[in-house]
Amino acid sequence: MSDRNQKLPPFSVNLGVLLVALVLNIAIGAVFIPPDTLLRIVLSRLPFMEIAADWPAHYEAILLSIRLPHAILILMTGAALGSSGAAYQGLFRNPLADPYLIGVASGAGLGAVAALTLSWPQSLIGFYLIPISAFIGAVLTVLVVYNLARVGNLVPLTTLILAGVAVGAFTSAVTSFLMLNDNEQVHRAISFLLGGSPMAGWNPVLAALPYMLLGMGALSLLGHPLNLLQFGEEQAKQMGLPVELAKTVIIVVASITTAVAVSFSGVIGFVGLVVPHIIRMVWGPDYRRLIPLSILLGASTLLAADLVARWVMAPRVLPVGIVTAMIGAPFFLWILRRAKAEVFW
Amino acid sequence: MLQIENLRVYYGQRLVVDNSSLQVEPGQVVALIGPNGAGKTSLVRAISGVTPIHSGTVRFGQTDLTGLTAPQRARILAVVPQVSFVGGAYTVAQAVMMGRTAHMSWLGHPSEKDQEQVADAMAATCTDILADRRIAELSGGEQQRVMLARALAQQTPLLVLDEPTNHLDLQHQSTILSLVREQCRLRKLAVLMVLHDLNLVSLFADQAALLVAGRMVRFGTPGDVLTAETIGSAYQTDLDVIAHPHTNRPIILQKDHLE
Repeated sequence: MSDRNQKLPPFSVNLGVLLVALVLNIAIGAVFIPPDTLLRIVLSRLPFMEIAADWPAHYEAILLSIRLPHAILILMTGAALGSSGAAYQGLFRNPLADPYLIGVASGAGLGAVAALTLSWPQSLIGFYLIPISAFIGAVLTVLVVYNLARVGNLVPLTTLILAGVAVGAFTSAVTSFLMLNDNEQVHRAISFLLGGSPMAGWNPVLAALPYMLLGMGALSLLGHPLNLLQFGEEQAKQMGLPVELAKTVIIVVASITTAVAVSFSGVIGFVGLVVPHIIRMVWGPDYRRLIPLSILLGASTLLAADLVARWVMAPRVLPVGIVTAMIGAPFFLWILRRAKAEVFW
Repeated sequence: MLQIENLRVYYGQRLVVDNSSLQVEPGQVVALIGPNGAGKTSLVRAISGVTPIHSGTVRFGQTDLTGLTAPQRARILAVVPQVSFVGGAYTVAQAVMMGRTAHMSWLGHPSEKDQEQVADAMAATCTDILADRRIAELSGGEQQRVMLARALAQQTPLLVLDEPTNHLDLQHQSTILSLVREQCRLRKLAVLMVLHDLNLVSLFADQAALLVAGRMVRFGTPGDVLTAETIGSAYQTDLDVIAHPHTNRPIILQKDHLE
């Protein structure tokens, strides 16, 4: 199948952009590590590589235990938000849909804030209390929304959106209530809600990695059902798609992928909304490549935003959610105005 | 042969198709007619598996269509929907390829045979020259031909069309209906189509099935069904039926209100 825009080869362009974003994100910081040194440090860690260590010793520590795990977590988060945003937009056939539409963000927010503000038995408090509690909040909220919207075997999508909005408003209200009652933790809570608290070190990366790989792998294979759904559920069924099964699989996979991302990195807005639109405007609506490309561009976008968030008020670090919205919104509007003559949605 | 027997369909609590039967032979075009709200679209939705059937049977040959999964049904029955702008961002070639869904794996990667069938369906409907255009940029007539191409690419023995001439001008009405007839004869398709314009029924259909308030009140040749008495009472309108000047087929005229 051909699409019109053959001028820019989609995968090489997006892989190139991702590589640049990744290298810059790792290289730049309080200490600048030149990209070539960076490459040699990483290579020196691989077996059978004999590379003389001619760099200052602390470079290696900064790179391997701080910058690299941070960049990989950010990369995975952006990739997850981009691809689940694309899947939600396709499922709901709504250009305003984002990964948080049916309650993942508000549920994760409630979970995280509950973990921060309620007094927990000492034995439960540990490194993973916040992400686990955020994940449970996200998944429970989506389950509640899904079951509220379900009529027998059918899940009408309009009802799903409305239930998502209503349940989201409720959980956000509970979150605000918990925050107002606890002045000590309110700063950390706000930070989570603005995506300002990605967890540090390799442990969260390793914990998130399997879910991310499975989730995004599965999303990448759901392109054809999503294409069919763009013609409406009725036509999709008449063309041979088991519609209710496809919808359930898309909701489950996209929600879990988003929930994992949010649990470890906080609620980061705008990436999941905008990234799929940019891909769609440049390379067309075919979800079989829209999803993989949204993975790549989502990752690049968040790596770039994270770099800005660390750099703009250094040594203070801004919540990355503020950056994605402040830079993302005008950038998106610029693209939108350039593309408005084209039918992209 | 498509055989619908004693079909009953409910929409919520309301009975919308009541004990209706009809048959469509391969190579034959059957027009489904009736006033607004008579249950024509409900019948189409029921046999295409979109709404559940309350009772009765829908068979194609030996196969009971009601018990099939969506992919199984889509290998027997293809539907041409009413003109609409859904999926407008896709190119014509992409949209027609989606008609091959029931023949592909769920990954949607076309085989050589899929490519051939799509090329064939596009050539038959003269949509091959539109292949790289986006659906939203096309005229209503072109869009309807694309939807027909998609249904033909599905390669089913049974074709159902829901008001294919809706919103089309005279030229495009006749283009699409001629295409349907031609493909019906060529591929030996059993064709069932909902039509609003009774004169088009007279000119393009082999049989007409008249549905009123969910009941099948008449099923026969257009000459039998399109009489002033039958149509007048079904549509509750005064009208005259005259003979076509060249072919003698029945032509329906509304009462002249300017007289």
